Amino acid sequence: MERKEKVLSIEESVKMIKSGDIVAIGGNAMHNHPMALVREIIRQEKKDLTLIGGTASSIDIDLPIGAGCVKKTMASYIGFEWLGLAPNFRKYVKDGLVEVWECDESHIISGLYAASHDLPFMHTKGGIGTDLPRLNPDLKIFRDPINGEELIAVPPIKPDVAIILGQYGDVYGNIVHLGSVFLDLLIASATKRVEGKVIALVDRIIPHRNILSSPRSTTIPSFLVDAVVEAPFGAHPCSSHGLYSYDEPHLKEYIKACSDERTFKEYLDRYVYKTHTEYMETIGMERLRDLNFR
Amino acid sequence: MKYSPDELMAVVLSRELKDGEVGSPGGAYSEIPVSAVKLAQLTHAPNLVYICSTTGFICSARNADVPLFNSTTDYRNIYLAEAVFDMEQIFGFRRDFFFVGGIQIDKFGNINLIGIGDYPALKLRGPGTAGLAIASAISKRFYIYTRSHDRRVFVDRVQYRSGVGHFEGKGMREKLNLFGNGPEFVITPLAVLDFDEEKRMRIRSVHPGHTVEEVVENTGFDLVIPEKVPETEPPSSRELEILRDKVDKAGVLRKDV
Repeated sequence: MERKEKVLSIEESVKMIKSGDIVAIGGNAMHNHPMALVREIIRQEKKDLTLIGGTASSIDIDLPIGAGCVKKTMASYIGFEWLGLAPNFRKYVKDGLVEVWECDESHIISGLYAASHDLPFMHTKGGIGTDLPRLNPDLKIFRDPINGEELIAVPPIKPDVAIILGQYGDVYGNIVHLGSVFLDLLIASATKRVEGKVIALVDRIIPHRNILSSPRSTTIPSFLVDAVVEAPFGAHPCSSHGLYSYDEPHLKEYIKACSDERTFKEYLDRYVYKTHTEYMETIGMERLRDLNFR
Repeated sequence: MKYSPDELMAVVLSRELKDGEVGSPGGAYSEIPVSAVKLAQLTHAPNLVYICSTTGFICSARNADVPLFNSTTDYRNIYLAEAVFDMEQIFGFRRDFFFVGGIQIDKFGNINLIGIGDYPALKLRGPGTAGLAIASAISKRFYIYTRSHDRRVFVDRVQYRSGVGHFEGKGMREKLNLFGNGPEFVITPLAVLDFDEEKRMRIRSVHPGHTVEEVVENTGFDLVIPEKVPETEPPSSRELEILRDKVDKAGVLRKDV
């Protein structure tokens, strides 16, 4: 019997996601988000998704919110750092159209840790003395049995599907990150532990022998990955750590487009409702190449 | 030598950091704290280590050729790293200091990053707590910085507490078993504000060109005002030279001036 190759197309892989699913998204802030998969989620019109950010999010959650795919967010930060607040997140929260699982970075980490270790909860000091347990009833204050200190118990976070981005991967699903791994390994471990699916988008599929020649470079082993999808510049307009930078003018264009319904719809038509190859052509290959780290 | 408000804030913060300490400049909007840490590394604290919280880059290298980036999450911070940790390990070791901003800051140094308005349909949804709840619970001390010193930011009581400063005054952090001393001071374009015995916010110094009245006018609660308020020691020409030649060649800290 042959070993299973896990290479799928963008379209095929996203079919694993159903409306109503809890989907964890790898990467952080404006980096390493599998944006080519996020755009496909919108094209396939998934609804009522709960999106988990690992731990900080930007366009990876803000764009599907604006496209009407999201019921609930679980992220400790959704914003564009020095470029401003997240426009759709702001608007949908104000209008009561999206639910927020209010949390700290430590709560996302603890919840995923609890899931990956099959624990009923993981505790943290993060949140003691804050309003977070009041705003999020899933965060329970309890007294530790050793010293009687107040701590916060975070229940397991159980994704149905995780979508992550690595720079390289082989056909069996061994993934390599060139820069930060962020929470991607923990996300994959938690998701597989609860029998969810893990889709890894990679900028390039590399020969299996490269993985064998340097196993220490593998950041996520193949048994934690169900599908490998190749898409050059698949993180754009976010950065792919080690390969290319975020596209600041595009991110600004996005934020501006969100200011009214008509321009946001134009943004979707121009950048989302097309294949990844067409997307790259729209952005322009020369411009994409200029984003490469030298 | 003339300097920008951001440069002054970076220089004053850098003086606070001690040689051999380990800390984190925070994630978003981190040009000021990253400059402070790098300036300290290049002057009095060559053994200072800073951790880029979300990437896990352990930055101990002093390399003046690496420019100042807008975010510590940027890949290129790795050019200053000597090791890379996993993100879930980041809170698992000693942390002497960190820096944070806020949508609202109150008289006890508590911070709101969640938003303003009635929950959950907030009139202004902020970005969220990020890692402030855990960082403010496990660090030896921290510094609050803001580019806006006005009554919208400086409020009597934050509407939602994302991070714990001195909670409701003296002795409260100890009661909650929170590690460390909480916020050391707040720095703004107008002044340095520290905390008195009761942990109420107090004017420590006012920056050159600004007045106590101006600070009071722009603060939404009664500050403790000592009899004599000194002027903040401005950046020396040596500090500014190193800052401009080795930390911020592109003038990121001067771009708004």
